[in-house]
Amino acid sequence: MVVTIRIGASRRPNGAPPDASMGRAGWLFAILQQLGGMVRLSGLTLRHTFKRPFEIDLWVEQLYQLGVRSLTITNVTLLFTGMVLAIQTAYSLAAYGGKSFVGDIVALSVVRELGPVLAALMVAGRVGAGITAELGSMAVTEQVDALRALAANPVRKLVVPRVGALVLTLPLLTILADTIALFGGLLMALFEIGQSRAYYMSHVLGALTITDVVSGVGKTVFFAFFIGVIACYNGINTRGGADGVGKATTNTVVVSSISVIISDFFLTKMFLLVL
Amino acid sequence: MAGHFIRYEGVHKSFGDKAVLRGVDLAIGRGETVVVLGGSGTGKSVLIKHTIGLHSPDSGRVFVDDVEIQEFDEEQLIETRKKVGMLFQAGALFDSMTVEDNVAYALREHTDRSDEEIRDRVREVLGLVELEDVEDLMPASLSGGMRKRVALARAIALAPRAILYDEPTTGLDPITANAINRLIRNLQKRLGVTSIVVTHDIHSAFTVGDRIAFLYEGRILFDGTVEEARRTTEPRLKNFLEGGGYG
Repeated sequence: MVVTIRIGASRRPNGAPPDASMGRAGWLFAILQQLGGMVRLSGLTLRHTFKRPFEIDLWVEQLYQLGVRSLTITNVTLLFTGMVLAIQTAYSLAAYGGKSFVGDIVALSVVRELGPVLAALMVAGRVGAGITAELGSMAVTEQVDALRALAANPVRKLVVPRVGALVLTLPLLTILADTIALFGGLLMALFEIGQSRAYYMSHVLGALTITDVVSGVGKTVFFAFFIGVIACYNGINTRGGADGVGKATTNTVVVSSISVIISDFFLTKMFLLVL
Repeated sequence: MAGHFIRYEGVHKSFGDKAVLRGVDLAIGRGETVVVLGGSGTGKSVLIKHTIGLHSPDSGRVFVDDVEIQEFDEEQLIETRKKVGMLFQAGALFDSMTVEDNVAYALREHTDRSDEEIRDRVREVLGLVELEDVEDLMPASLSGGMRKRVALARAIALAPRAILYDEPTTGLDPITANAINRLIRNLQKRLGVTSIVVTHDIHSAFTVGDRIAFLYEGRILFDGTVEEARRTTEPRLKNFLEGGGYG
């Protein structure tokens, strides 16, 4: 059996989401086809990740492009999330004496849930869309086929460095963004709520356990893998010129964002059971 | 058959409901240049992409250098792809790399040559396609004709035994198209490679081909020498050659 990444793409461009004209059966078939392709690409990616020689240059380039260049968007998002969360907690729970728990609530919400999910959603938008647009442009101009024609493996050259860089950087981006969100909460505690730095920090550190950090950051490894595989799959299988690239990019943002939200539920359950 | 470098036997290929190839039988001898002629969208490019596993047939067999390849996976196809270079329709140069990096790609990937040896080989193949001092340019700054030449240099860098040309003159002005035709002929003479040229450009077909194969409705309708094609009485090929459509 011929192993290609373009599973089923000969029947339907995977970059294009299922549409109403396909009928219910066709729609279901297209979704299953896309899902099957992504599962298969996941397997190939894992297989090639640990195969020598390692493409160090490509990894370093992607670590910079996907990781370092995402710092601003994740940090700004979480800074303001931390600030908003602190204010909302203080004012909405004021009647119940909840003001004193601002540090606890900000810390637990951010580290367990908001930090990982918001960082992943931001990365899905910025990086996922970027990967699909880049690989999609390569696919429609036959550069991916050219790579294969030159006896190079697109999974090794294009997919592994991107998925690998995402899996390495999203947890780090999340840890940094979590810290900045807590700092945002601190700013509000100091200047809006009237707490001291020591009081806020004692509640933050008192509320958090290592389990909270591990479960929050641990989820991002899975989020990163899902975003990377979805983005690469849609990119490599893009057909239909600029229009196809646009549709594939939109599809990546939608599917990877939904994947983050849905998988978050199951991963949360899993980490609660395991840790 | 031992005399054939590339052979398609009963190749069928469909995309969804659209049957593109409906049983193609065609054999290309070693050192021979066969032009696959046909209108736009008749599956010419699809056919040659089967040669290096960019497409796999729904049914039928594909032989390259007497090895049956249609069941091969990406890893197994590596050796076949080293033997067969391909010039894509729009060049398909890697636009994030310089000309030198494009041409050197397969050399870095598949040989143990030193940087100096690779640079020398890049200069040599760029010379074969009549280009010089373009190593540091990016593909975006090249003209259409230059892109095709660089893509051709990239295709021959590993000294393949066969070259597939996908619409080599499409989108080029007549002078540049003639230059590319001359280049294809020169490469055939100098390198002695087996070639398949896919085109709907009749002038190009008669200039570069030893043999013409006419693809019509997914099958090879005519297969003969250039002279036989010129004198053909097959009405659909005749109409095509005279620019009157398929009749």
